[in-house]
Amino acid sequence: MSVSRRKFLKFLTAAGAGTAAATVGGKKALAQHKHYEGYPGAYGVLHDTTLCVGCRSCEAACNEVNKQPKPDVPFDDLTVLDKKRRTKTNVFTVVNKYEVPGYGPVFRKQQCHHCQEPACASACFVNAFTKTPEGAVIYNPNVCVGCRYCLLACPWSMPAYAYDSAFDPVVVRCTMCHPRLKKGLKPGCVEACPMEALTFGTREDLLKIARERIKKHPDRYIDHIYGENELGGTNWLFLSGVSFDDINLPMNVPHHAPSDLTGGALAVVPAVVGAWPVLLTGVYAINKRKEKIAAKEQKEAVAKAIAETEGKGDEKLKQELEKAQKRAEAETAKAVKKAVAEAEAKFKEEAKESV
Amino acid sequence: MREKVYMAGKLVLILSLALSLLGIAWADEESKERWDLLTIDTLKQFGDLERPTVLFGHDMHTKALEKEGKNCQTCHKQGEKYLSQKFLRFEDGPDKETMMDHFHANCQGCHKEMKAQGKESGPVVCGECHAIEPEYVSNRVLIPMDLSLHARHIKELKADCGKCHHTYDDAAHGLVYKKGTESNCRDCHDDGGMGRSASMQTASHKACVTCHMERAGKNLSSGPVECAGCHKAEKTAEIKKMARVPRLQLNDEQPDVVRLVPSEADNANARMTPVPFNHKGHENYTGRCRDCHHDTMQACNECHTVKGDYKGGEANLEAAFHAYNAEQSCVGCHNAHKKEPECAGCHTFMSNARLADHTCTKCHFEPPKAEVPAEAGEEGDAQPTENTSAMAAFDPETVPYPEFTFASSEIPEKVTIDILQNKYGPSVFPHKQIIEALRKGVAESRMAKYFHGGEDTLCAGCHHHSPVGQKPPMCVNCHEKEGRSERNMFGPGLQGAYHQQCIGCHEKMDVAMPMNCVQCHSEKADAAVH
Repeated sequence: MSVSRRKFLKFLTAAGAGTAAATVGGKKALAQHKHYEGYPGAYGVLHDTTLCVGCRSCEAACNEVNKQPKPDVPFDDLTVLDKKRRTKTNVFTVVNKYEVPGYGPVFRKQQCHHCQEPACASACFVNAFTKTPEGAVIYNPNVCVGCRYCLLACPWSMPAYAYDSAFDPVVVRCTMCHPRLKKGLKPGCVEACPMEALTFGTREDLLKIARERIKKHPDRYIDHIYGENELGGTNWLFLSGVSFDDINLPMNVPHHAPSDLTGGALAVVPAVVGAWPVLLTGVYAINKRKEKIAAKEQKEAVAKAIAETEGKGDEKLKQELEKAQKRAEAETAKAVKKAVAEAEAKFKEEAKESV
Repeated sequence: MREKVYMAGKLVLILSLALSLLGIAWADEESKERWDLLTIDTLKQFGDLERPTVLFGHDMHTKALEKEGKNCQTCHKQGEKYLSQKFLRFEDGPDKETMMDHFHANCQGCHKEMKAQGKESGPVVCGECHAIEPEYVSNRVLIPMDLSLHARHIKELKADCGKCHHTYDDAAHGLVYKKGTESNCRDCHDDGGMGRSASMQTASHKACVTCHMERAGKNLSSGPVECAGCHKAEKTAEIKKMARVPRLQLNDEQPDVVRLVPSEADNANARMTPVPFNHKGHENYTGRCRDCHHDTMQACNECHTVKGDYKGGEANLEAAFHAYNAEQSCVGCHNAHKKEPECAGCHTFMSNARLADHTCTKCHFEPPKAEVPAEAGEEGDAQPTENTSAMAAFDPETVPYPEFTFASSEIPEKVTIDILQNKYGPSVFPHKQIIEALRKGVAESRMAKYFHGGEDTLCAGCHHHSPVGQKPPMCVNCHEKEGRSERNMFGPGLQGAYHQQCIGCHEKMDVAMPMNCVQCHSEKADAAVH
């Protein structure tokens, strides 16, 4: 098909209007994006590092609840604390020891922070992560394609990847014992903590408790609740007596949810990317349809013309045929007449002879 | 040909790998610490520096020159009274180039000369002095002129205060000693130097080191002249402490007891009963006058007013005495003491942020009127004497520590905690043994003795938020077995309460920490121990 100048201009106008509409909508969406306060009544855990003694009871409980294989080094062996560890395929939580000069050792439990607007979920293009109303972020291995964008997205490097599994590699992380929460139980680690350095409750209550502790003991705590605003807020909260940077909780984590970044200008991208093909296909389809109709009409006209032509020819032929038939009939009659006359003459001659 | 290039490439790779490994090995080496590092940044006054500042080890140079039989004058010009503290000059040059040449010529000059003589010498290449990553880091400590060290100076100098204390006299255009005007050095000499006063660093080195050198020259008892003596932690720890520091009598009118009142102009705003403050008693607890008096030696009410203003740094009189975290306030200093192991076992669980209401009268009270001794009355100014003698009844040093309100035999010897049992059996708590340990700690501290009042107060360390008595409420009354509850939202559950209290106290009081669960709990035969 050839595109005429008029058609091309028509395209441009339509496409321009579409993009403008999308951009305006995007700006509006960006301005309207408010801080998400999380599901009301969602649960969380407050980890008070000033109370933790590094007994690893939480690790043992986690291992038991999640039916993971027993580690080589038993849980009551505290020498493992001398090395920094991280979460692994079969280890959803670890306690690390941080020697802080002039303060002494600080123990900090590591596990998924269960963001209110999870970084991993914002990076996942197959929606394998779900923020549940209970507060836990859960993962669906059935849709995961193993791209590991979630590993990169998490500022605390919490998701672990089952590199050792060649055929079914999955992302593994703490589930805040979501199945237990559903049953009305506390997470395994919280229940096991003898010092109650882990407090379970609704996030609202935990914030109140944390504030009360800071207020009551201003010289024991840093005046900051880690996770109140970090990454738009997390359901796992931390209190500390030393700088959070000293216990590997970086203070430079942004205070907005990662979805703020993907929800603004970037959110327009799918619209633009989506709208353009639809629009252009539409324009193409309309034009195609117009052409189709025109072609059909032409075809019909031709058919009609042919039909008409054909009609007229028939009449002539009929007449001709009739004429021919008449001519043929006349000739036949003439021939018959002639034959009869000949036969009569012959008969008369024969009769004459016989007479 | 190709083979050769390949081989050369391989060689370069191996070499660079080896070098980087070596680099790692070097980097791993612990950074060396020195106490005598001076930063040479004289050129800063002329603008931005082109190269990193130079770290100069002073004792290192003194020692090297001593070996050569050289003295201080090798680097410091001798002035009329003092050695110049600057390197081979009295005043800085007019511009950057002059100063740069001065240092380069003299430092490098000496280093080169030494090297030429085949002696151990210092660097001559730019980056060795102007190092981006210096070889040494400073671990210099500051020596506090505490009351003990001050008293030793008084003794040695035969109370000639003018040896150190001075004021600037406008008429004489110089420093003179005026009796009665003695203050802290930092009253005039701060870190950067105020107006015409030298910085604390310049002033102290000028006064201390010069005097020490002079006395050493005369074979008199003297103090350190090298950096290490005052700035190396190991050395300063060796400085002799006087067992009993004689009382410092400023102007011979320092009272034993001071009524902490607002200034006369501010008096109308006063509401509280002024605190009869045992000044004499506190002199032994604090190391220096400035621990309370800041840098001046003024009375509290000269700067801190009842309503607060700029003079007192907007800290009003209440804050001056009660700010929970200020070094100079009464409460702040007491709170700092509560962090010491003897106190922290109980006090770590108590809030420092706010004083309990019932504690006000511990300090704010009218001291009992004692009969004015006849001879004191005749002298006219009897008021301090009167308070002093009356306060003797309140002196923690003389006040005996009160006994329990109930008999010692009524205190349980051991308490078996068996209310919570899961993986382990009951825990037997040595109740009386712990009370005795706490009691001993309190009896040794005059502050604790005074503020704990009756010994029953000790019970509240564990049996908190309830009336003190022979039969305190059970822990489970507030701390629920199931853990933190809605009813007791901010407190821990029972398990947490026990562990936080026991382990927390062991930790804070430097008592050996239980290494495993069975040190406190009996093992359960039938339970699977994790």
